[in-house]
Amino acid sequence: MQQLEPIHTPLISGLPDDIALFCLARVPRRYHTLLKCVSRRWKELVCSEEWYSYRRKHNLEETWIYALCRDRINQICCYVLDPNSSKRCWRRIRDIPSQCTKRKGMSFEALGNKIYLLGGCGWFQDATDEVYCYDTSKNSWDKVAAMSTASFDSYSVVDLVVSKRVCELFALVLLFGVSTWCYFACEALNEKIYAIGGVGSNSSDPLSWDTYDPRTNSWTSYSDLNVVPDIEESVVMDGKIYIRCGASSTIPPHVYSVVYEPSNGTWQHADNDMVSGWRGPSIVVNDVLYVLDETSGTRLMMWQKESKDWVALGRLSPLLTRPPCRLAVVGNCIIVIGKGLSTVVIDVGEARNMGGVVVSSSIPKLASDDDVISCKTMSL
Amino acid sequence: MKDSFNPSIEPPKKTVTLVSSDGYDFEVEEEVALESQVIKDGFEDKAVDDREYLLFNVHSDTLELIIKYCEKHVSSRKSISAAAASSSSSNGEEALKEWDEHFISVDTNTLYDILMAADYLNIKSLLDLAIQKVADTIHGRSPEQIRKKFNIENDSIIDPWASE
Repeated sequence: MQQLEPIHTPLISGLPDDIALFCLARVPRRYHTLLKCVSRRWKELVCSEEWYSYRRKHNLEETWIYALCRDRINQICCYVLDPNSSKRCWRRIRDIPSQCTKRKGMSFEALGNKIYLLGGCGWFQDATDEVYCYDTSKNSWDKVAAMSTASFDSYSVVDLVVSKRVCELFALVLLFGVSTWCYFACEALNEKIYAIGGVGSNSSDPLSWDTYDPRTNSWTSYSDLNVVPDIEESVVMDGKIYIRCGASSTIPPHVYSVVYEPSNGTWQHADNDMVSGWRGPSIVVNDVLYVLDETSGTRLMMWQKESKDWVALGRLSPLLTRPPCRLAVVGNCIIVIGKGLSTVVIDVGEARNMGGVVVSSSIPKLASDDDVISCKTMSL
Repeated sequence: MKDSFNPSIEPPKKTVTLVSSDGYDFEVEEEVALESQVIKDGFEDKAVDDREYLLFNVHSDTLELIIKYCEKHVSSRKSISAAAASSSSSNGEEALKEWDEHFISVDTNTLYDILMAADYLNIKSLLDLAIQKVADTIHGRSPEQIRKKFNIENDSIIDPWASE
């Protein structure tokens, strides 16, 4: 029986594997690529779910920032920043699927240890339902389940279940229209991705929101009359998704917000006081909503839930911030990322105690003036 | 409390006997032995005259080091809290950190022995110290240097320029 057992190479010779894992998991994230080059077993370990969950369980995970950008020649590209590294600089992630590089209106989301690139459309291309997933440990992009293309209301879904013939399905699609995934909102909540506001080809269609479950690699489609087009911003606060919709360019601006309550699956109109100050990119740090008001210079605003008030924390130096910006959060810090990936780090705890100008540290920008489309963080 | 003024009637310090895997007895003070969570768990239930622990997985060479570590930490904790109580300044924490650093600077095999013993006895601070020491030997080295250091065979076919 002895010889039938597979030859087991220990991770570190002289140490049991569980103790070797304790040691290897302490190695900072920026060296993980290096670990993968040592041996097959080390590579398998670093790419495993066990590695990810061990680091999470023992608070060893480090948060990196991922930015989706458009460069000078209008190509999509992706960058990553390790904010804890001594030489803080943005690095380009190679090998974005070539199909995506020309698309507009794509969404970008991080969930678990993966980054997703969803939908989009182009000049010579209709809106796509494709979803690409970047596995940070394997450093590779893979296609995952496409978003649902048909947008049915609940009545038609019942029909779809009853009908088994393909022609009936086509009839339904013709009748109710096909939703297209271009310029829509994306948020991660309760281990699922929510893609919100796929635009139907027929303007009378109720708008849809779809959820993606990475465990089953499948999408589920829903629709609600309160979900509207022209979603300009979205944010997750107190376990709810807030989307800001409407046209702020019209005079007077018609802007309002709807909030998704996951416990009952409904969208309701959100508090008007909050929407009034939600004028720009938003982020939640320790359950507090912050907005970067870019209407004249850049001002960091904070929403006070109890008093229903927007408070200005202060202005950011125009020498460092180059709007339009996107926001990300790492620990207690808001990361403001502008044109050319000019990056400003604001410690919220400190910023709240200062009057006037917000104190920050900055990270050098790229040589080119890439536009930032979206920023997400992923901890590993 | 009165008794404590007269050192001659101070009760003798309670001790515990630890027996190494190669059969050596080590008599240590109770509070030193209690640094091990494994010994601490269920310690009160054990009869006072039966406080002997057979440590089948720990060799006497390693056990000696472990006891040295625990003794140092017990005494340092006392002096640090005494300094804090008298609100006098103390660099006890710093000095202990330095002592730890020196303590754990041992050859690889000894480090592994300490690591496994700390895991077996569940001495968290020592386990953390040893784990960090192994982790520190890894970063800053090339894959080839890591293989050499940890005696790992090169079976990988990975593009060394792959980056994330």
